Amino acid sequence: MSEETSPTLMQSLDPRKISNDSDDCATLVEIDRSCRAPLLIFIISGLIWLLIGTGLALIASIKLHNPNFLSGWSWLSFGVVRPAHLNTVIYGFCSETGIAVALWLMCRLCKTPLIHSGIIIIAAVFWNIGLTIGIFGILAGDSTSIEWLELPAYSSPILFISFALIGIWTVIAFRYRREPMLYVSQWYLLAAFFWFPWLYSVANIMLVLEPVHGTLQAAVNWWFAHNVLGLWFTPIGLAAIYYFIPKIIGRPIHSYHLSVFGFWSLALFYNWNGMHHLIGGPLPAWLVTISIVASVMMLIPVVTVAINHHMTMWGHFKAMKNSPTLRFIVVGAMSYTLASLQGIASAIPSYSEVVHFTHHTVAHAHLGMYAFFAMIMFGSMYYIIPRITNREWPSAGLIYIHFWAVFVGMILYIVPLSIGGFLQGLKMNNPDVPFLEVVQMTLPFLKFRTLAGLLMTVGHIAFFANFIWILARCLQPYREPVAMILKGTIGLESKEENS
Amino acid sequence: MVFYWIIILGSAICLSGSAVFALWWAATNNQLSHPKKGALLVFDEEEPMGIPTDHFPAKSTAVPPSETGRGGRSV
Amino acid sequence: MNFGPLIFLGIFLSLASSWCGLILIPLFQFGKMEPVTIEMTGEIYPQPKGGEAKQGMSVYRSNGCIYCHSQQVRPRGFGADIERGWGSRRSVGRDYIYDNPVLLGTMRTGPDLTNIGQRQPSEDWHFSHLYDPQITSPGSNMPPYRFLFETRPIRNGVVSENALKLPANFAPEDGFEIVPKKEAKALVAYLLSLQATAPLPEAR
Ligand code: HEC
Repeated sequence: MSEETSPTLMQSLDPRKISNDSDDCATLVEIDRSCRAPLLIFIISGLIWLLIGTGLALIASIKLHNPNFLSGWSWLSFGVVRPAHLNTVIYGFCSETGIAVALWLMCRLCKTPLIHSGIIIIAAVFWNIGLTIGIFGILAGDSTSIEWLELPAYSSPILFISFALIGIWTVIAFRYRREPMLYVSQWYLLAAFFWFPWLYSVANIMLVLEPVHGTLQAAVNWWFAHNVLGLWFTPIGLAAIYYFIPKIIGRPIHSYHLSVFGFWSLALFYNWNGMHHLIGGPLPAWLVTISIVASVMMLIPVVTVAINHHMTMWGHFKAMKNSPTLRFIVVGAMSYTLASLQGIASAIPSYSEVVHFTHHTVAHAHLGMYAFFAMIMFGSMYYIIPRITNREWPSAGLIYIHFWAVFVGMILYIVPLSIGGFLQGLKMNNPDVPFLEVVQMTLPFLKFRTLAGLLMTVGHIAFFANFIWILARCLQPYREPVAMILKGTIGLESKEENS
Repeated sequence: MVFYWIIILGSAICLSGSAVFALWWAATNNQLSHPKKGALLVFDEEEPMGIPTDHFPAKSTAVPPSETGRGGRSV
Repeated sequence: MNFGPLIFLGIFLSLASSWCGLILIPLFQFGKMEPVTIEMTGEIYPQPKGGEAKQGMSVYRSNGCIYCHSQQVRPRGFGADIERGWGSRRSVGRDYIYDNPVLLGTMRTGPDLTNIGQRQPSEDWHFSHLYDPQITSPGSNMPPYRFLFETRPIRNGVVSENALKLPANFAPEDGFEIVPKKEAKALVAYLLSLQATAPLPEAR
């Protein structure tokens, strides 16, 4: 690694920028190698959180159709396990792998090695400590019962510190980039790193540390919870899509103009959407109306992004057959469009009247966070991990199992539950149907969901096994042929034919 | 209430400040002038345009045939 | 791309403006809403929750009842909340000014609880229901909250006053009785305190 050209920590923090005269960009191998330790920490812990979160999800899912299951302990009761699940997968799996992917993309696009990896490692340690304390807090009954902000007041500041460190690192990395031009993914990433700490700190102050009064809490709550999706996860997910699709098929994005336009229209409309979670609720009508309008306006960025991705992929869909990353990414990109359209529909009052308060919302949340975001993260990790460890994925079979299990599992989860939730809403809005009949009607769908969840669990275990295996391989000496294939050296296909 | 006024004013100033700064920065650094070039930034000499860069781990090609016979590459 | 700079500025400001628009303006509009005197009865509404009910709210919070129960009645003509008997009027902001956290909820796996204190005023019903919902509502998927109750031997052959009167198939072994713990009592006090029936002018 070119140690001479990377600044010391003190230099980096100095507002007077030292001249960065090495205009030769770092090589890919250099960048990837510099990412190894910090990224692996985030990825390992993220995947452990994924397994924990999956376990909690299964427990919660079974409980909904089998209420006596594990009902003897307060820390395993439904109202505890469900927020514990949400927070492990959101702040554990999705945020940690999201940060890892974002850091790697940042280094690749800035064409600079990951400098000051110590900051990132410390941040990862803090993040995990804060989250562990918080999850135990939820299990112990300290959940705040504020959706998406259940982590108790004694753990969220630790997460914030960690995030501040990552923010500082991003600024430094950005300042010392060796490629002056910016790619659209960097727009998204910088925006996400700017928006999230702002959202998280404001929401925690106004709801947990110094709570505001009355239903204003609900306004802050949904302003935050909706924006975490739109201004934290969505930008990271889209940044990865914008990088990986062109990179893998070797063809630039269809229209760079459209991609920039999509970014800005997202920034403009998304942050006004949150109040559509409160349609019909005890808040002023104007507030909710603004959000409904903004939600419908989301059609613009969503359609823009969808067209752009589709046109880029046009004629290259068969590449999905050969590339694990591309499979996950394309499925994720399509789910993004679907999730957004479903979200827009749910913001329309006559539709919301039916589906609000039902399992439809749960299905929608999983379409967004799982079928879109988690799939993008899986795909990105399939690309990144071999490059930072310099080893090939040990088993193609496990990749197939992972893909098909989560792909089928997610369809079996989302489609039936969306329909079930819609029917549930229709029944609930018919006062002649007794409530227990509504409950009974949802049970088959809930059972089906447990099955789908089991399938997804199989996929996660396959992925984790493959990951542990590749880590184990790191202990073995480096082998040339492996690296050649990773770099996509031409002629792979022809080699395949000889053997 | 004073508490909120501080947050409100503080963040209003910070946000507008960062907006102006970002705009100034973007304008002076030519970020807004050559959008077409932007699309090519994911490629470089090492991995130029036109080359796919991801594959399933190859079952038989990565390791010389002699080694596959001994059950993959577990050394 | 000469419009670039303009777009850039517009968007950063709009980001800030969503915060101002969705949080700050409402903060000034209803962040300091006060209780009112109801003309018909002369009482002041709402009243802060006292002692046991307040503790009950924190039991409700830590057990995550909010993930299955909402506390908001939608207006007549939007959904069937009023027709289902979940309230006599829609909920309005003033109903919640003393709540912390505000537990509006987003899920109705179970019924809305805004007015449960009025709809189901029986303490015994609530204790049995919490102990095992199958007692009162067979087929429910609400979890049993047995851990809020204590099973203990009957002392000197006298059954305690507050022991649950359970049907035979739910009853404990002979010589034992089931009594609510402090948390269960607080929770039921909270549930009974849930009634938003005062005829507020803005809720008509
Ligand atoms: C898994 C979802 C779930 C959870 C968690 C849950 N409930 Fe329920 N609850 C239901 C369902 C379903 C019903 C309707 C059937 C019944 O009466 O049991 C119900 C009914 C009720 C009722 C009676 C409502 C009426 O109109 O008769 C009360 C009171 C109640 N729940 C209180 C609570 C409290 C307090 C908690 C938290 C300690 C809680 N519930 C947690 C699902 C849930």
